[in-house]
Amino acid sequence: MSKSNRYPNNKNLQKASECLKFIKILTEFIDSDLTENQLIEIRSHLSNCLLCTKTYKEFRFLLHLCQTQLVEEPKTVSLQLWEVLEKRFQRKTYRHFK
Amino acid sequence: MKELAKPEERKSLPPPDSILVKRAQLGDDKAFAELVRRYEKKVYNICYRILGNVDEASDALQDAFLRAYQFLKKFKGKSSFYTWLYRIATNVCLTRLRKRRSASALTITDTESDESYQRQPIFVSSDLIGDIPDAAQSPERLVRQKQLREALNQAVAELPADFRTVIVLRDFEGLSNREVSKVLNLSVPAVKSRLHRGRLFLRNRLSRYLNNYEQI
Repeated sequence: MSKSNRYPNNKNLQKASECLKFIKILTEFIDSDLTENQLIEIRSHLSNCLLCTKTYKEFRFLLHLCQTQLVEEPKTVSLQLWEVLEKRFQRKTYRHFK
Repeated sequence: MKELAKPEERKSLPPPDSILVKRAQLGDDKAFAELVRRYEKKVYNICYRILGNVDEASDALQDAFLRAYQFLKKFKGKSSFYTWLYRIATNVCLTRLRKRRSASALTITDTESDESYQRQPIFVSSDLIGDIPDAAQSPERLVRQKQLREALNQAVAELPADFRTVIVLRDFEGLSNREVSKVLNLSVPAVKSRLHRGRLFLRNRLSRYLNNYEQI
């Protein structure tokens, strides 16, 4: 993206500072953790800024990826855990009867 | 009108964590075993994501549950059981990372930059690949998804540990900011700050893929 059209409509530095302000509270916006006034402000900004809208969508997609990426616990890992725990339980029982 | 559950159905409802914890505190190992069954996969996921390899995650998983067993009587119930358990697991992992860092510091060469040292590079295998629900699964699309997931795993592994723990608990495990703050003993604003910086880091690392995310 060339420098001249980096910000839609090629406005000015004021536009850039608005975008910077948005980026700073993007996490709260995604997590629905903003005040009513902030929400109005951001929604208005998003409706006029393609670059920030794109950034917002990318963050949402990234979050979706994280939420849907599960690690399968290998069976051997689970077996080892239960083996260790069984030993620990038995040790306590042994002490109790001793 | 809401129907009452039949007696046999009421019986089959699993007991809440708080009841199991109380039983386990009184010495009922079966109750503790049930808690382990409930949280084993979650704790493994946390350990694997923070440590980045199966062997270390397996050891950390065992350490975490053994510690929970040992110190269960000290658990006062001020927070939920899983918050307390995740705190133990996260601390076990962070201790391991610190040990790893001090071990690698002994072999660090002059050519290695401070940045690479801070990032604590870790091995990432491809066994993290899960399934994204997707109706249209062309072979090319599947390849792109796999590449993206591997890139995400790599990017998470490269996150500084402070950010990684927050991202793992918040974005991967779905805890609230308040819960993460309790697990990591941080203020909520500190959690938010780390979360934001962690997400920015991931987005920058994955920008190549995210630019075309609609095709993925």
